Amino acid sequence: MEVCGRDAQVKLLTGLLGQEGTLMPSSVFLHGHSGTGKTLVARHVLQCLGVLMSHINCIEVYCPQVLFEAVLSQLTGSVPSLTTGQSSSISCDSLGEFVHHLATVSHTLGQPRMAIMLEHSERLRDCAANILPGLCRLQELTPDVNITVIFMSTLSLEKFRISTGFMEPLVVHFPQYSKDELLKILEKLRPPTTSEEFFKNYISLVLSVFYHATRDLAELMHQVQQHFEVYREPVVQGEVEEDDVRRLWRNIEPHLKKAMSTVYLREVSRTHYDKMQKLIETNTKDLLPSESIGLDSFSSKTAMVELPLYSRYLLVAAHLASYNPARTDRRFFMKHHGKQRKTQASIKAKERCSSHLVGPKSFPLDRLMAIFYSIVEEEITPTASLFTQLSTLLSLQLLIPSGGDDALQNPKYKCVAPHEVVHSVCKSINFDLSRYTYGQA
Amino acid sequence: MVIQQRYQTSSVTITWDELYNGAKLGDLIGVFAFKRQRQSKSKNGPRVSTLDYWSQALEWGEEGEAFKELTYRNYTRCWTIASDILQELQDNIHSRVFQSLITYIDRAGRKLTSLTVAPDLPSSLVHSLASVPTACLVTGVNMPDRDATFDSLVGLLRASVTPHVARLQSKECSTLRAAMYKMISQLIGGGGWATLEDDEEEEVVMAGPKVKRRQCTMAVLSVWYREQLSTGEEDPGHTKSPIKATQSPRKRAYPSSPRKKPFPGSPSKLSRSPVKRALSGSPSKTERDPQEVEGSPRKKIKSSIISQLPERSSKPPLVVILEDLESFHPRVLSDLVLICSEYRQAVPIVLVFGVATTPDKVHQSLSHNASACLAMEVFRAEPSTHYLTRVIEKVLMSTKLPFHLGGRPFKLLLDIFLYNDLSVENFIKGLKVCMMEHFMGHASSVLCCPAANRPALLRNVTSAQLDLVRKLPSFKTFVEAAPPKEQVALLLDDSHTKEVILSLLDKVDVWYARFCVLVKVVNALTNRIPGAPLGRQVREVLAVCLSRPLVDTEEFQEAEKGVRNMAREELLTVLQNVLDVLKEHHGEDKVLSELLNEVSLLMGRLSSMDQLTQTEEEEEEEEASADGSGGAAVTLGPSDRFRLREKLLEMAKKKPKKSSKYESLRSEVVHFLSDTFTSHLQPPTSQPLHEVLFFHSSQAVKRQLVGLPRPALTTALANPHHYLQCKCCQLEEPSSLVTSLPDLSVAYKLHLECGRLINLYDWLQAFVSVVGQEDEEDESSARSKKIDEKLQARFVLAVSELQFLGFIKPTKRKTDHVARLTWGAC
Ligand SMILES: Nc1ncnc2c1ncn2[C@@H]1O[C@H](COP(=O)(O)OP(=O)(O)OP(=O)(O)O)[C@@H](O)[C@H]1O
Ligand SMILES: [Mg+2]
Repeated sequence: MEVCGRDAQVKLLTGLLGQEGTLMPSSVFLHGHSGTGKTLVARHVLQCLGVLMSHINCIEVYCPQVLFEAVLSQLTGSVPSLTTGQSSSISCDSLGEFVHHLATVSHTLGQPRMAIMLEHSERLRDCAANILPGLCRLQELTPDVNITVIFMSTLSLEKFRISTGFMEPLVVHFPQYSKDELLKILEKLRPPTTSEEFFKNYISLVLSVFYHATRDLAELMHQVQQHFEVYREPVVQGEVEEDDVRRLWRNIEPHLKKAMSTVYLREVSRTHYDKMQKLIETNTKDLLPSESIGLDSFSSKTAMVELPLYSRYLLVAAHLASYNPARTDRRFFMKHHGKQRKTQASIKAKERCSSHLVGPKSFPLDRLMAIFYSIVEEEITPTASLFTQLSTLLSLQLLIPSGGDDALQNPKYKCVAPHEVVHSVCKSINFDLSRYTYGQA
Repeated sequence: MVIQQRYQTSSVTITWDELYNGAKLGDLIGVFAFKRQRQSKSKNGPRVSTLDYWSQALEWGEEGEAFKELTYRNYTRCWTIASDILQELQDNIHSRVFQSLITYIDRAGRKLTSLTVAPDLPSSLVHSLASVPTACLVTGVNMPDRDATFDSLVGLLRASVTPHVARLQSKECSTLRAAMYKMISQLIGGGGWATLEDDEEEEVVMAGPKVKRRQCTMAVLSVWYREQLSTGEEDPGHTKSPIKATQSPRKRAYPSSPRKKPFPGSPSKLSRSPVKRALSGSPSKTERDPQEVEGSPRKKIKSSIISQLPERSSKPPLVVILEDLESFHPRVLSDLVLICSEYRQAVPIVLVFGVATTPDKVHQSLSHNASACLAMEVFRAEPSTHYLTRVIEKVLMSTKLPFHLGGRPFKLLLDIFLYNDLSVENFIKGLKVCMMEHFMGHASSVLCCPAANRPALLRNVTSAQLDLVRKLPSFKTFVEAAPPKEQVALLLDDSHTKEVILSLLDKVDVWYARFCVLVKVVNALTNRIPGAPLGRQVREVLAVCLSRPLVDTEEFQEAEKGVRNMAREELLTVLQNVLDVLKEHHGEDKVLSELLNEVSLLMGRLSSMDQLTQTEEEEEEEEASADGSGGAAVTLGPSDRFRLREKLLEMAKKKPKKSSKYESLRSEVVHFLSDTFTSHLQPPTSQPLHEVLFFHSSQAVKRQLVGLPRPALTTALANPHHYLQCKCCQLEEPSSLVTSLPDLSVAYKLHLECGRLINLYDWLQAFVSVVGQEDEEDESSARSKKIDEKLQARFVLAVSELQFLGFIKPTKRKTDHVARLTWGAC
């Protein structure tokens, strides 16, 4: 795919790498947002210059050895495989070995110019201490090899300077595309059967809707492809002329507006899910002895979680323990809690905003159980399955363990369940949450 | 969770049978660090069967052995019947979701592979496939059931879509490295999971080439996949083979995997392990489950799904299942997704996420750019409450199974399900425990067997055994109600008694069948009533009916009131539902057929009344229009007021007259139905010989089913013999102290005698005086004031263990004292 609108970067990179026969810079650093064409430009330039390249995605590099072996096998063109046996593919564990192998590879191939392209190179910082400095200075380490390392990242160079022995690479910045440039690039997606003018109109319509939500090229491309069929339909049907932009716009507008809410969320459909979810909701209502509540009151259907009865109470108790200050427990959960002193009113006002802004606080297990026993009105014995439910909630990430100096004797937790989930759970057990919540009662 | 985890991780799987008999809860919770002696589990060694543990709670002298045999045989019979039904349910329960899920995976796989094969597509097309197809299966929080669900999903996938399936669990995937290894080794080494159904063959798992840990990179995977394709094309026999799934999907699992023959030029060691193992695995499988021949339910569902799909493509996708998405580390998850999307052109991976809560969780745990790489479709597995309903209907309310649950055990199991875990698997385990308890603890269960076997069984019953039956309370009352001559015969004449027993048992069977149908009728009648006093589910009605006479309950009275308030249309639809239930189930039962006739008669009258009143209404309307006021449309003008009042009065007069006809019919319906219920919906305890077929003692199973950590702990400390089963710790009296008790137990018992604060030195003295008794004779003189260091060390250890268990804690209030955290001397 040809590059458009990146002439400056292409020229700069070509200049940096130089012509055949010259020594390449030891490392180049390309940075810019995702989808700004770093990979595209680098590949394009390297191909034009005829440099032998290897392209590695650093997300996959969970240990240096993966990186080394991938680079070597890509440079030599050998395929790592199970069946050819381990002997033929090079095994390489350390930087030292890597340097050695590089020299032999370069020698056997006739000293070509080589490049290592590292996608998502910020991941290398967590990999091994010596790997980032080592790659920066690969040129120094391998005197007879003409090799360059091209780092690509969405982060800027400052974030890389933490490791010792880091050598400043040459930096090329890829700024965000402007609206016009985006238009030009997106136009390339035109299917060969449609006319240029028609597609251009379409692109500008899509861009006008989505430009405020995202400037990520990949996402825009996705949206362009998603909606083209719908856009074109009236024309194909013969209802609307190709150049009647206004009617076409009226036709597609609601469609695009709806798509706005799911930018980045590529859920194909959830018809099956919604159908079954309805079943459950009617079912949970039956499950409980409480009076029936209007189904519509479930504000968001997705917030509904199917939980056993005691788990629901545990979750609510955990929520209360997280958001209420411990000293108010007496007031909420004891039958006869003396009178409240007036002077607290002023303090309360201050805290009202804080408790929900600051987020959940951690609480000890004892407090959780105490609240639980007081909100479940009937008598329950602490059975093993009750504690099992606690650990189920933990594994569902509705609660998380939080600090606590002694995890065995006095474990502490925090309730991180979304508010909608807690609210829908409260509704299903007929529990008036606001009566027990500090700052709302 | 504690219990379950230990239950799984212990090197030898403890069966519930063992749990019941030997290994008690304390063993699992771990109060003492004593190891139970276990038989080494060698393959050739004799298998420990439940029969070895089959102890009788009652004493029968020399009859004991025979009883043991008989009850055990009955138990196995019953359990086989139940587990057959359950197996069928398990296979069918998710068929609807799996159908759509598998179709989706298949379609997505085809779309992906079409891309893989031709990598030089125009860029626009490439981009439209930028995302990894993902199926998000929302399973619900019932953790124990999840394994079974995914097992059957994997089985279906292998049979229909692709042999390459990997299952990842969060506990094995704490780092990206581990996750990649798990994924790639399972994909390449594939085929293994199919044999994992039996844990004994765990070693057979790897059926493909073994993969070295260091080799697990996506590059290797993509090369491997390309090779698979090329070998697949060379050998068109297996992929193109027409799918005869209806005949033997099981067989296809092996040959269809392209690894059937060793790779060309593969080193000999490769061909050694995998292929042989795979071959040795398959015959043993067919031997193992002979009942799984043609037409078994599992095959039926498989073939029904497979037949819906087009022929398996020659380029099968790779399916990666992440079973518990919530517990995955978000970073590992995001990386995994990014990698899959990076390589989507080389390897067609379809992801399946198992989500317990809501699908939104996926986007919450994924990073933004990773979730942009997913094309997700959401599926919802059958909620476990539905599954439970089916289990209750098919197993508990079935006439095939001679064993029935009584009111209290049923309520217990139901409560555990609804309040604690929503797990059908646990419900079934509970049912099994109840069954065992019934056959083990009740002598009369000798007679509890399928109706067909009963005559033969009764023929062999000895008179001593018969006496046991005669002693049953329900039989006694039956005898007392009989005429005196009959009484004598029943008590003395064995063969006569046998005949009577036989007929009584048959009667109970018929009665129970009718009972179950009527329970469904009650449910159909009452589940729409606002407030649903009897609940909306059959299980709730069943729970009530099993424990009390239905008509006397408050709930029923309320429901009756609800029916009495129903409008005509409502009543008609409800009666229609009742009719449907009856039509479906009435079978050969006379009472039910009669009921059916009666209900349809009543319905006929109701609907004809409908026409009647309609004509009446019309007449009235005509009358009204003849009046000239234009029906109900009365215009309100000041002059009309008087006439309006008149009109209203007139209407009010008419109304009661009109509806009273309907009302009387309605109350007739209600009367008729509640009469039926009064006579047939008595609890099982009203039937003679109900003890034989019904299990009532919930207390006995409660101990097994509901783990109580705290009582277990105190029992273990107060009476170690209970768990350790050793000779040395036997106590005549629970509070007595013996030297041979474990130190911890001695320290515990001593501390019970103290107040809130315990003086450590006094405690030590007491401890030494108990524990040191054994070597008192030889060195009593030497031991004056000085305390043996060894004893002191043991004491310190015991005290710190007590602190760890939460009985005491250090205090600063008094030096050399610790504070007690429990009260009383229990
Ligand atoms: N200047 C351009 N001309 C044409 N297409 C472009 C241009 N820039 C980006 N694209 C398109 O956007 C896609 C993404 O670009 P690219 O992979 O180079 O981004 P990137 O900067 O490497 O992103 P990331 O940081 O996520 O790796 C390309 O495949 C290409 O289709
Ligand atoms: Mg890139």
